[in-house]
Amino acid sequence: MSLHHPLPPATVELQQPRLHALVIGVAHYPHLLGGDPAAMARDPLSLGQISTPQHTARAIAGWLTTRYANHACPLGSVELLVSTPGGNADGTEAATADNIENAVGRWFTRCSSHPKNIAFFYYCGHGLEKGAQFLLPEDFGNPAIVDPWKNCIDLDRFRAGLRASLQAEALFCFVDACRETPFSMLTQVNVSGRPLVGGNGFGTALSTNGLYNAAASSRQAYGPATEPTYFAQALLKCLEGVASTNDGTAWVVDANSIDAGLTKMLRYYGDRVGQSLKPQTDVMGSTVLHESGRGLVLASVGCATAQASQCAEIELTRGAVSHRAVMTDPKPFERELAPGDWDVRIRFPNGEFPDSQAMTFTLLPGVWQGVPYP
Amino acid sequence: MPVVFVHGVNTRKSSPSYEAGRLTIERFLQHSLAGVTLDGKTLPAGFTVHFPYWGDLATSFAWNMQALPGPDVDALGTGGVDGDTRELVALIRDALGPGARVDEPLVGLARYQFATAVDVLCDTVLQHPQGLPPAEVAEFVVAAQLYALQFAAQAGPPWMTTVQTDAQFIGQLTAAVTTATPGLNALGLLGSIGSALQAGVQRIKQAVGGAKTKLIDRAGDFASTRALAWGREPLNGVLGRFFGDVFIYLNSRGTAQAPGPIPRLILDEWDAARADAPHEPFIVVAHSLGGVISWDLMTHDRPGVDVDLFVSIGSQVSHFEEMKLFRNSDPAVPGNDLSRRAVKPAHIRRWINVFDEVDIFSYACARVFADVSDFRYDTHTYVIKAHGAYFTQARFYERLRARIDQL
Repeated sequence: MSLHHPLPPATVELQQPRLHALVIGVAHYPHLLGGDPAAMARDPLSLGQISTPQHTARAIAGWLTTRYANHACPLGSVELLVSTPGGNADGTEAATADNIENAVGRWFTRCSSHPKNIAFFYYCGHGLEKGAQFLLPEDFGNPAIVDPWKNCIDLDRFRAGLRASLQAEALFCFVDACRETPFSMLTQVNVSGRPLVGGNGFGTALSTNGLYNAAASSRQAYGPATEPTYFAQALLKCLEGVASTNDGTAWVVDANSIDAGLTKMLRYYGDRVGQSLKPQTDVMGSTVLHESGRGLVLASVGCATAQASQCAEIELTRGAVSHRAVMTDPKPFERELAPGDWDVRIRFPNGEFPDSQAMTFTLLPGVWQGVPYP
Repeated sequence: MPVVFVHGVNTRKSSPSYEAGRLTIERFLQHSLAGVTLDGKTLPAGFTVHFPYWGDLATSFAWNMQALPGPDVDALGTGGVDGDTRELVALIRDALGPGARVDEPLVGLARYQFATAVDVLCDTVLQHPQGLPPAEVAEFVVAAQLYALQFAAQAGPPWMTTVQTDAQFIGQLTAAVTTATPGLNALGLLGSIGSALQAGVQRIKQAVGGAKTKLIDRAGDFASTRALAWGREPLNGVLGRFFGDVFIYLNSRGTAQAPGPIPRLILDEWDAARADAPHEPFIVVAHSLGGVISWDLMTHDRPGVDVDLFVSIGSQVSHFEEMKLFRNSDPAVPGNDLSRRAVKPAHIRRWINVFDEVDIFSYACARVFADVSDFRYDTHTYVIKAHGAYFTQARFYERLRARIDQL
């Protein structure tokens, strides 16, 4: 059983609007490189073992059960599948193709139980692209199966099926995977995957349909080996307020603001880790996903040159709130700030450069990198 | 004084493999020659390798070698075995033996000789880098070759016992030699080299499969694979460019007082290299016609400049001396006494000459020159492939270093 929340399953609310989530993390590929040598795929496609998806899936599921808030559509259920080399001590199901297909069936049914429901899908693991996008469950490439693509998910057809068949208000689909095309995949004519959900109609019940890819076409997604992926970290920061908007009554995160927030956050993480992190999204609609209750500015403050940053003291002030970095603190100086007007002062205690006057910046939720001084 | 590598014929920057090949040589030389000490001077780690590039000053063909005989009719369908891969096909077919399955030729070759399979793969990706940055290609080639070196006397690494397909072979090899960023997962391929290797495998498969159906089976004689390798077509272009470059050099080399464009370019690089690192040994490594040119320059244009070590590889120095084509050749030697040897000038302190008996452009020197160490090296390749194969094989550099340490 892959139901992570609530337990027992009979307590899942189906009569009221709810968010129903399916979260998948594949951190064990026995048929790919570094897996079981005796059961390796005939063509492992130069794909190896990865560990970040297990941390990602659990972080996303953990956030949903502890931080998610939406008074119009509270949390209804979380299905969680995680594949790890040693299995899961807590009984969480492995993310095999069959387990995913069964979990999708349960998730789909719950999502369609009320027209105001939100469907939340998060996948983290290996991904490929050849015309369509493909997601790879744990047992992808099993050499005991004649069709090497049998244990594969066709994301495009999956989404097409959801668009046509899902009876819900909104679908948020997060795909935390690479989108490369290995040369040997190009030479195969029978590349395919399971659509998981049928339906061919042109109409849709969804007023919001968002696809958020961690990687643009032909690019890679990355994550630290022992932490969630950068995409997941960026998403969680967005939900915590970096992607918040305020209509005058409340801070909320909606389908469009996530789109803009992810791009900024991934550029920020990419600069920090020296990787090009390029998300690609396709969003229709603006359903509110989360009531964050606040806006959040990720401020990264240094001087115009590294030399000046090294010998600078930086002070950020807003009313009675002040943050200060002395010369020996690492630069850029990073703080999470509330949106609003902030005064920034740069001082050089040893006189290498003239001290700045107070510079006032109006900071909005998102990532802010300053300042052009001296 | 650092190392200068003087390239040979058929070297053009316009080739897609030029830069990756140059970087491969640079990295192998830096890896294998660091620490070499000659007359108290030591090559430090990370020493500079100078590459005087004279290819653009060499021959060009007004009709782009249209005079070469070739097929006048296009094949309607796959073309079978092209000239570039004929030797490769022959090598693999010979390794697999008559009647062997060719569905997975690399694995078959690797089971027979692991290092040779790595050679084939490296050569293929060097010749067809698929648009990859040259540094990535060179990094893979050097890493794969050094990895294979560990298993030279064995059947290969332990994972060879479970590998069934060429795709598994390149995957396992890539995983073994790719240096991932510590602590970082990419949710996709193990490095960008993967697709280039997969393309190389497809190329090899098509070539071997094509040979099977279009040539070997038709002849009904497995020995025809050797005939394939010795066929005229792949030789034509190489020979044409070789003689073209020779004529250009001989016609335009000038004099010590007024050196021609090729000598001037190389001499300027030598002088710069020596000035940059005066406390390092000055080592000239020269390939093919580069060895001939270097000998001519060392003995005629720079007779007073000490060269701590001269390494000629796949070169024709002795052949040109027999024809008395060097400007300081002594026509009186050997005269009627064939035991007499031409003199190696004292300012060329040491000389190692490397040849492969299969490389038709390489010559031994010890029966023509005095005071030279001939070094026979088997590239385990065929004819023309042998001429350039030295520089992509880690075992070549390993043995060269051993020879240098014996001097």
